[in-house]
Order: sequence, then C-alpha cells, then structure tokens
Amino acid sequence: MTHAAAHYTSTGLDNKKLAFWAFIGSECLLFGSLISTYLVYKGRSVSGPTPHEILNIPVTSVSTFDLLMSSLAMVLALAAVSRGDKLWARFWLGTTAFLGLVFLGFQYYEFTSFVREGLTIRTNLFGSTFFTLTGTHGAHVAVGVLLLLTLLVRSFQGKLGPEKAINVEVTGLYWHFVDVVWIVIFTVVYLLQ
Amino acid sequence: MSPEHRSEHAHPGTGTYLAVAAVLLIITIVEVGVFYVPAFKPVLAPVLLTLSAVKFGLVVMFYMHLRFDHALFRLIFTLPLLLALGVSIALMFLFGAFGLGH
Amino acid sequence: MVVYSGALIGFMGWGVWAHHMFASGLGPIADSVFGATTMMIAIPTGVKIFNWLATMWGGQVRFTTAMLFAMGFIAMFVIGGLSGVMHSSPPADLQQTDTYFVVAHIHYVLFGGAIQGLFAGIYYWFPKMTGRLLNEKLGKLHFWLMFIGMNLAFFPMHFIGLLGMPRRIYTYRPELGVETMNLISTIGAHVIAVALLFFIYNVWRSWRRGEVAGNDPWGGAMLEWTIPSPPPDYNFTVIPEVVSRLPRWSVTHMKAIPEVPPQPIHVPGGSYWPLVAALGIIGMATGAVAHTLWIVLASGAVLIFSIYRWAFEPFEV
Repeated sequence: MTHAAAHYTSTGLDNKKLAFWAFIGSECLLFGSLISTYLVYKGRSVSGPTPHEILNIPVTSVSTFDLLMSSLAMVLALAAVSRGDKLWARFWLGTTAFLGLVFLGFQYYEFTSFVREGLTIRTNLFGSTFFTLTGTHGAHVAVGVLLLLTLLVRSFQGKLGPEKAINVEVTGLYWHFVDVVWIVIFTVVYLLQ
Repeated sequence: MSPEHRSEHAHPGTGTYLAVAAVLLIITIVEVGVFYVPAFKPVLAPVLLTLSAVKFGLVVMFYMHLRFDHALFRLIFTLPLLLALGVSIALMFLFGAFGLGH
Repeated sequence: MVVYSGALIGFMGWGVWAHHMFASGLGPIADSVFGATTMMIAIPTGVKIFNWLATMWGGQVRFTTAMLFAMGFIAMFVIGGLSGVMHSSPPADLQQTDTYFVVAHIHYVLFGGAIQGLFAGIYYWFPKMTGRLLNEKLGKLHFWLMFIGMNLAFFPMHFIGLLGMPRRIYTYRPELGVETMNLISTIGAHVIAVALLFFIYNVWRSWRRGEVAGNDPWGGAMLEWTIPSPPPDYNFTVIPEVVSRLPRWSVTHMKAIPEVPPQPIHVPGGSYWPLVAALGIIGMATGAVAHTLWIVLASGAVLIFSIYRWAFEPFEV
C-alpha cells in the first residue's frame, strides 16, 4: 500500500485490481459451496427449530436495506476520493463503515435471539449450515469494516488523495461483493423457506 | 493514473448511483411484499430468484463498474461465478435436493 | 499440449473426488457421475504421458540420474494410473476399498510418480541451487536401489489386497496365504531405506566437495542455465527477452544477458510479518480446536496486527 499504485503492467491493468477480482472470483466458489451446502441439507433436519419457525423476516429486511445503502455510500466515497474531496470522502467512508457495523449489530441480535430460542450451530442440520453460511458472511463484513476504517484513518492522516483512489476502489469491490452475497443469501435462505 | 490504465475512466456519476440504489430498494420491498402475499405462493421461487438476480446484476454492473471496465475483469469474475453456479446445481442434483436419485 | 492437459486435469480434478467414497453409499447418481469423470480424467493424463514419450523419442536421451528418475516416474505412474482406472468402476471399487490394492495404487502414483519426479528435479537443479553437482555414480546407485525397492515393496500389495487383506490393520490370518508376499514387501521397504541413505550421503558429500557445476552443467535449454550457480539474489541482471520456446538452444532468438547489472538492482528487504501472521492463523486454528476462546481472540489480534505491519511496512530496506 505504500508504493505508488500506477506502474507498468503487461496487461495494462492495475495489478491490485486484477488481484482483487481474482480473489472475488474465488470467493464466488467459497460462498457458492456454502449456499449449496445449506440448500442440500434444507428440510432434512430431524429436529427443530426449522427456518420458518425462527427466521425473522422484518428485522432481516431492515438489515438488508442497511447493507444496500452501505453499498451506495461506498460508491459515493469512491467518487469523492477520486475527485479529491476530502470532507465528503471521510463522510461517506465513515457512513459505509457505520452501516457495516449496524449490519453486524443486527446479526449479533439475530444470532443471540436464535440461541435463546434453542437454535445453535450444534442443534440440527439447519443450525449448522445456517450459522456457517451467515457467520462466514458476517466475518467478511467485519473484515470489510476494518478495511473501511483503515481507509478512514489514512484519509485523516492526509494519505488518501486521488492517486490512492485505487485502494478505495478495490475495498469497494470487496464491499459490493459482500453485499451481493447477502442479496443471494437473503433470497435463498430467508425468503425461499 | 498513467495513460495505460485505460480501464479507470468512465465511472458512472452520482445520479446513476442514486438511481441504482432506488431500484435496489424497490426490488427489495417488492421481494418482501411478494413473500407475504399468499397468492404468489406457487410462483414464489422463480419470482424471487429472478428479482435477486436482477439486484445482483445491478450491483455488479454499476457499483462494481463491471459494465464499463476491462473485459478481463468481467471474465475473471464471471467464469468462477458460473463455475460456482454449476457446482451448486450439480451438488443439489447429486444429493437429491431435486427429489432425484434417492 | 501438456499445459492444456494439465489445466484440463486441474478442472476435472474438481469432479472426481467422490471416487474415494463409493463404499459410503452415495447413491447411483453420484456413483455414476464420479465414476465417469474418473475414467475421463485418464484421457488428458494419457495425452501427457504420450507427450513425454514423444519428447524423449525426438530427443537425444542421456541416461543421467535425473533422466533415470524422470523415466522411472513415467513408467511407475502409468502402473498407478492403470490401477486408478480400475477404481473408477464402482462395483470393482467396492471390492478394492480399504484393501492393500488401494495401498499399492496410491504408492505407485505417489511414490513412483511424485517422489521420483521430486528426485529427478533435485538431481537436475541441485547444481543450480548449490553450485555443485551431485555425484552421478552414487545417484545411479540410489536410483536403482530405490526403483527395485519400491517395486518389491508395492507390487505384491496388488495381490495381497485382492486376496482380501484390509489396510491399516497390522495382523492377518495365516490361511490368507499372504505371508511370503508381505515378507517381500517388507524387504522392499528396507531396500528403499538403504537407497535413501545413499542419497543423504550423496547430498552431504557433494554439497562440500562435489564437482563444480558452472552456469550450465547439462546444456539446458531454459533461462535458469544462463545465470551463475547458485544464482545471485536478483537472478537476472536485466529482464531477459525471450522469443523462442527453447531460448538457450536458439541463440539467434535471445539477447545476451550482461554479466554485471547495467544499473543497480533494487531487491526488497525481507519481512518477518508474514511469518508472524501465519503464526496468528496457526494460533487461531489451535485455539478453535481446543475450544479456548481467548487463544482464538489473542491469535486473531496477532494476525490483524501483523497484517497491518506487513501492509504498511516501508518498501525500502
């Protein structure tokens, strides 16, 4: 991160961005297999609680909305950094990180209430696959929040000018990917019970 | 950015971002709405899957700039995505999630 | 051709793994699919093997130790491949599951294949890594002892397995009639051990007093033989421009590489932070296995801290 981003590459593409796209490609397979595992074992739990007994659609709809809006804040942050607008860059980066934290808070609430209602990762196939899938997604959100806060600190240190916009762009790629994974999870896990 | 980074231009403007966000929001509301309407029960799965595919596409094309970006990025994302989709379908088929094989 | 076959094997490799689990009752669909993919993966593998044979056919073969190991690899890998195709048929596989037949198969692939390939590489590139050649006489002794030893050890296992001896069980009933073959196997294992002693002695001796290799002891075609042995930290003084696929053998197509760097070469300094980050991951896994949350959290903190130090480490030494 400390050396200049723009240097010659044989593809003519920024190698950081290429690496991030390749990483996101491999993440497709990770989440693809976790979602498939969830679907393969859907409806095969021998004991409850089952998805439609426990999943809280209104609350999750709000957290889905929250994550979608964080993606909007993220693209606005990238636009602000690219045009060298420090104030708005900090505002939108902070907003994105904050919305990410809110999402994690929703997930904390969801997980603890599920445990209270008797669904843990050990309870049944639904519990195992559900917590593995959404927990992995939550861990990705947490890493994304760390990245965003790092960018925010770099901005306050005066080290996030337009020449470093690529760092914001790749963080954005990651963040939007985490968002689209949630789009799929929300539909497949929560709405298609 | 140096001149060879020809992929870095032509990001959409704030207006497009807001429009996309509005569409995403509307689709999410429709999804949740459809979920609560009993009449949609028989077509729930295809409707929801289509809507979420549209959301997926919008975010990837506009927020991740894939619509405007270099073809290599598109390739490096789309191929694993299709592979993941294939693996998913194959796994569900193999383990009888479609009611076959067992 | 070899590269495309390798890529194809890599892709198909994602779709064969359940052939290890036919006996676990996957059901007819899974059995058929994974049986078929396992048979199909033999096709690109065969393409590779014919390619290697054709390469030798078209070349002038010198029977150095490295070459002997490479040829031994092809021959033994074919045997392992043939018993592998036998496993791809679920009914046959059910008979062979968890018997010594599988043990014979895996050792022809892994020992006859991978280990001999590794030794071929070691004998070939040892002079590049250390600047000294391994002793050829000791090397050939090592090869022949190991080659005979592995066949003594692993070939009888095919029969032992088909006669019904299960793997991972150290006793067997006398009426099974496998004592002689098990004895041969044991002798073979000891021959392999002796062969490896020769190898270790060879490395120890050649490292200190072996024949000095120079840039190119083999007359190799590839770029690594244009630079000194052992190579300098920066490898090449300038980035070589390559037009031919065998650059050393077609001098007209390759620009000469200067002896000394025309301009100072900047090599990034080493960093300990990747190592610390890896220790953090080990700690997290260990803590998770031990169900001890504070170890997971502490190691996670170590991981995150070292990733930050790594990312923000100054590029200049």
